[in-house]
Amino acid sequence: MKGHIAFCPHFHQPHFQLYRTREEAYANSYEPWLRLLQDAVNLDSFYINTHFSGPFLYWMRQEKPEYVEALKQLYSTGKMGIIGGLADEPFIQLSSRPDDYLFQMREYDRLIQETIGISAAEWQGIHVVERECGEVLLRELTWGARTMQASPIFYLDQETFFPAHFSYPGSDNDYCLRHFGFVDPVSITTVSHIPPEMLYYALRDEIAGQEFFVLPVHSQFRYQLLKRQSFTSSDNTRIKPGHYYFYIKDTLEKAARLAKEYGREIEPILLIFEDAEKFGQWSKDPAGDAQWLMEFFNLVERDPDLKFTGLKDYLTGQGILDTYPISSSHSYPEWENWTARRGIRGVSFGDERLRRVMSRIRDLETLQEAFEDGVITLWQDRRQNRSAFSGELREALMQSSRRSELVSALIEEQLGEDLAAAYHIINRVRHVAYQEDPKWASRHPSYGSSPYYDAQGLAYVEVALRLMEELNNIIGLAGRKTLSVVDWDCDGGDEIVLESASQNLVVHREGGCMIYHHVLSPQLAGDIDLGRELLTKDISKVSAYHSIHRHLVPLVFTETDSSLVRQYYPEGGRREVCRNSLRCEMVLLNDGDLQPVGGFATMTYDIEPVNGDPGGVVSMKGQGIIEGTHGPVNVVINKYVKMEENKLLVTFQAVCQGEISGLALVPQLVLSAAPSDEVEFKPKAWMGMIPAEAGQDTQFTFEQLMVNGTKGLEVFNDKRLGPRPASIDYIYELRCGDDNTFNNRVKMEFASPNRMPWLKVEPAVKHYYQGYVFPDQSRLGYHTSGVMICPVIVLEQGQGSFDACITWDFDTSAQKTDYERIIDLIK
Amino acid sequence: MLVLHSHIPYVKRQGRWPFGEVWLFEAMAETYIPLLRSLKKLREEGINVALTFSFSPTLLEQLASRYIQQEFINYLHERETLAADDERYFISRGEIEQARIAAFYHRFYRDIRRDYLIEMDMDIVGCLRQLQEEGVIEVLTSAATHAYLPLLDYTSLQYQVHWGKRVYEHYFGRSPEGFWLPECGYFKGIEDILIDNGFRYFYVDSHAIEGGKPIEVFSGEESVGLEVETFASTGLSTYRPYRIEDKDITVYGRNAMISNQVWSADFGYPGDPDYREFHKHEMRSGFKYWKVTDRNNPMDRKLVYSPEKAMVRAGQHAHHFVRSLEENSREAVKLGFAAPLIVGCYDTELFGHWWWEGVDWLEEVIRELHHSAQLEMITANSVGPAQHEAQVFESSWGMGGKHYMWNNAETGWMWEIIKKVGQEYETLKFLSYNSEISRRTVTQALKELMLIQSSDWLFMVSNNLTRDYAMKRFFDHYTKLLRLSDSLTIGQLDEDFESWLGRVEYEDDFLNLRDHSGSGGT
Repeated sequence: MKGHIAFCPHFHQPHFQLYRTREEAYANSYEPWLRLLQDAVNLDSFYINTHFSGPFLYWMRQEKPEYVEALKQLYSTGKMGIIGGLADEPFIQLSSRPDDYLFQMREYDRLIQETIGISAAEWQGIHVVERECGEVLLRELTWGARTMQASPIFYLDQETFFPAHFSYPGSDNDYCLRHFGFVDPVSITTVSHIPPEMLYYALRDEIAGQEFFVLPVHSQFRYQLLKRQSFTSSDNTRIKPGHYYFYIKDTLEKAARLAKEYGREIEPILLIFEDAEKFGQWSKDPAGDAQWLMEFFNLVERDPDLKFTGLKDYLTGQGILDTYPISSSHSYPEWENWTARRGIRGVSFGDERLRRVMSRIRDLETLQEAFEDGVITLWQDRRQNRSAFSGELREALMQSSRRSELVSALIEEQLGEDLAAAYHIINRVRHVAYQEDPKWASRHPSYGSSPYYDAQGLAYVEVALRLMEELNNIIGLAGRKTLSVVDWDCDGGDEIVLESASQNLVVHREGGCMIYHHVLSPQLAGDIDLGRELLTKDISKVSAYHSIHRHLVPLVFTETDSSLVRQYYPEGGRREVCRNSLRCEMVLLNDGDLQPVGGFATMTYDIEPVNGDPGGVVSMKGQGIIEGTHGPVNVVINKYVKMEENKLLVTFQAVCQGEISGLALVPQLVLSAAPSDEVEFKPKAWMGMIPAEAGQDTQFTFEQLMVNGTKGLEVFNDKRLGPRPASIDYIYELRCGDDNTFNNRVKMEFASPNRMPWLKVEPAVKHYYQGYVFPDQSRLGYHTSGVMICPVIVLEQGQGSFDACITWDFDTSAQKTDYERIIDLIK
Repeated sequence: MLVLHSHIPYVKRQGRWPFGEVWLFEAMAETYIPLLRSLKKLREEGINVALTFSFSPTLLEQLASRYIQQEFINYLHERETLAADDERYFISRGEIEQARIAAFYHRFYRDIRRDYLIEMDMDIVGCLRQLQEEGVIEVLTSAATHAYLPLLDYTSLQYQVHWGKRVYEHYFGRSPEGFWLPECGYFKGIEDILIDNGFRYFYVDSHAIEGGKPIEVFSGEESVGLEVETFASTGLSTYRPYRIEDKDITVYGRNAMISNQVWSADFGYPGDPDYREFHKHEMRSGFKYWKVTDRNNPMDRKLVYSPEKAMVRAGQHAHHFVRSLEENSREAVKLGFAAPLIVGCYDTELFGHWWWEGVDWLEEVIRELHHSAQLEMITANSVGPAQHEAQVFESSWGMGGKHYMWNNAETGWMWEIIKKVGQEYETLKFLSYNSEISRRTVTQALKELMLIQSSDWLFMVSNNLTRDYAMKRFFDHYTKLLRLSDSLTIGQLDEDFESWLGRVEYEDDFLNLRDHSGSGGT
């Protein structure tokens, strides 16, 4: 038997990755990889298929050009091949546009040609992001590959796409038995069925006539690779290079025997797919990992029956085992566990926070589509191209896999290069927002909440939206409505969306709260050229760090909060709910204890726009029953949100139609904007209090204050009495990877005729996905979720009200010395 | 001091399944290789290990045999195939728990094959030698064919001890210092033969030193009408080694408490409800999918085994065991033993083969002992000369504490034959051997003589579980010896005989002796 090994490491760092994380990975993994490869290419039998994600390469090209040059040299040895892929490592199947597939592939091709000097025709295969795919993606990638002269060779997980299936009467798959209780005599698997032990060959398949090839990934060879350390405290398993070599050879021999029984005598192939960062970065022991890998390479080198190969080279030499269709529209089992078997759409739309990202991208896509339609119409009008087929032509162009390119060309022709460039950068932003990591990593049980990817992506989307609107204006299309009532987040009920140059906010009926609020600096809101400049600078080469938040930031874009979870059964079946802002509770004051009553924080409010106000006002009304001194009492809460230029006014009013002593209104003012330190991982945020001129003192309660100590973040609570606040300023620092540090400030000015005996400050969300992700990942703080401020407003004569005026300024010069009283949230 | 005694009777080319070579393969796969793997792992972790093994010469010879090594690989392939078949079968039936266990067995046997090929180069004995040279273990030898020594004639005793030593020297490149008396069978006088052969120490059961009731109380005493003898109390203790009175040899006594903790049918660890049930297996493949559940439950009431849960129990039991040892040691100090010695002796095959989780338990015990401030593992070759003298009772670790298990109404006739063939062989010594075939014949006669003397045949006949196989083996060796002896005596060493001899040499190629004098190599 001659066996082939296709070694396929995947190098990836997402767009907007933290500076320090990237640099660590570079030192621990990428540099050692280079040294290892420089040695390994000297082995006769060595060959490696490398996939570099677009975000990885954009960053490398920008920050480590010498590394890219050294890599390029290695490819000239003929011992290394490129696995092609998509430019932004996106879940592009989430996009509403058919042209995004080819766009991504062509951008990737361009990137690889510019950096490594290898064209698509030479790709050894094509990387499918997270091996998450259905038939549409495979069909589009296959078609795209053919147009680029690339070979449509993919690697997909055996367990997912070629599942073992054995059905017999009386088995678990006997549905008559399961549902009716009798054994179905024909509950059997009829089609030819290849056992997993034989799936070590190239397999052919076709979708809609598009032929492609798949090499199965057997996950055990991922996990066994470099298994030098424990995963858990009870894990003593270590895989040595000799063991790994043994498993591979044993597996290939078995596959060859089975294939012989099948009637084919071709040489088997074993594909090793794994994240490149497992080498060095995960283990933090690059030297040990390098030794392990080199020993493995040498074992293969010494074995005349084994050799490394390229995917395409193997297919060219050996051909396929057979046509064996994959089971599509699934994801790999590990993935399916935590996506409740609903794949990437299940993740993105099954999670409130991620759904907001999708909804905002859809806003951009809608505007872009309107613009493209307008450009085509303009072109048809100018060319007097109106014919019986003009509608069909427009449809054909809109459905074309080259849509954005065609539109770009039309813009250039009709409107000039400048606008074409603007259009191109908007399109690019949209693509970047589909990158996989915010969807994948932030909902994986092993990783923490990572809102910064999305916060930054959304910031670019907001700028792109405004630029898109500007382009629409240029071709005479109407601008966006300042207020609309629409099912923005596709949950079956309408939300109220308010838009202005400097703000976008969405009000939701559940909890009567604000689920999304993005704010822009006055400079950016008033100067579209500045926005375009920012996009061009940051997105054309995707070199962005967190500096974009010097100009705009999502103020409300909260994580799901486990204290709000709606659980149906303890075993599973639940809804995760975001914290949002402007929820409020009614509480009973009881010896310093606040006892929520009436369920006002989560009840459904009647929401409606207030007619006649040009600035956009939304009213929310909630009503509940509270047990009073003499029986049930009706309590009504009204909230108003008014968007003004560079400020947001909110009002909470509570009316209690009966006698209840110690009843108080507790509004929740939530800010997702959070500090970040990409360089040292030592975020800083603090509050400055400006006391009111009169009024009783207020008891301040601060929960989970954090201090960066020698042992990392230490957490403690604080309680102090002080003058009633007239306003609170929240100042958070952003230290960015491009050596750029600044502070942003959010100012909240309060007014209320009622007493405010308490004010609570705590992280916006303390736990997300509690019990479902690792405890350390589940726990959130000010730096990961933002802040929640809850004044306690005591009702007097059955009435209470609270007004807040929220303003923001970017790159503020505010100092701690400007305030009489400050509190460090994270120091 | 933990002493593991390893022995499998000579089964090479003596039948495969259900009796024969499969015993050896099971012990290799389930016990020896996992144990060696654990020791290597512990060594890599920097854990101090000082474990004593005895390996019977029959076992060493078989482990070193090329034939056995190759057949073992085939056996492992068979097990892997059966496990994969079971997994598919259980998946098809929707019995996912069992399917998981089948997958576990598949991985288990594959990894045994991996380690046997990659880590050990198919050389378990070489591995033992290396570990001994590194000071991780001490290996003792035993009687050549694991004969029950107290009832053997003097000449046969000498052969058993002498060849036990010679086989050891061949495989370990040094002389053994300790001798494992098969079944801890001791009688006054055996020490002289051991001393003559250069041995410095041996091991006996606790009652042999302390007196009192033997610690091994079997459930069968009453049914066989055996009256258990109470040995006179000596006032001595197994907390220290003793020099046999007026002799230059040391005896170590097994500690009753720690033996029972593991061996006891009533409260020993292996009977834990979460551990794998040894006696129930899947008829299709022979794999065991159930847990003990409740020792009193009938076999059809056993629940499905969970390897992960059982591993947790093994860790807890290891912790308990080491705490018990510490407590035991504190008590001994109170009794005046400044540095008490606690000797635990077990059959190696208990760990892994009989008690599936036993290897993991032992690994964890060693790890905990390493971290114990109070205890230290030692081997006998690191202990100085014994300061106290003792007389030792004639005894064994079998039922009743003496010879019953090997000498009873069922086996009396076998002893008659054993004695007879011993005398028969003695007469052959006086013949002259002037041809190659006559030298081959007498050499083979010695092999057959020693193979008849294996304690295993007596034991199997006594416990009536594999009596047929034992009787067949006993008679096979007996008839072979008779023909060898007769042919030599009457000088009928013709072509037919030579052909037959060739077959017998092939079947029973235990000890590749060059001649019968004891001067040949193995």
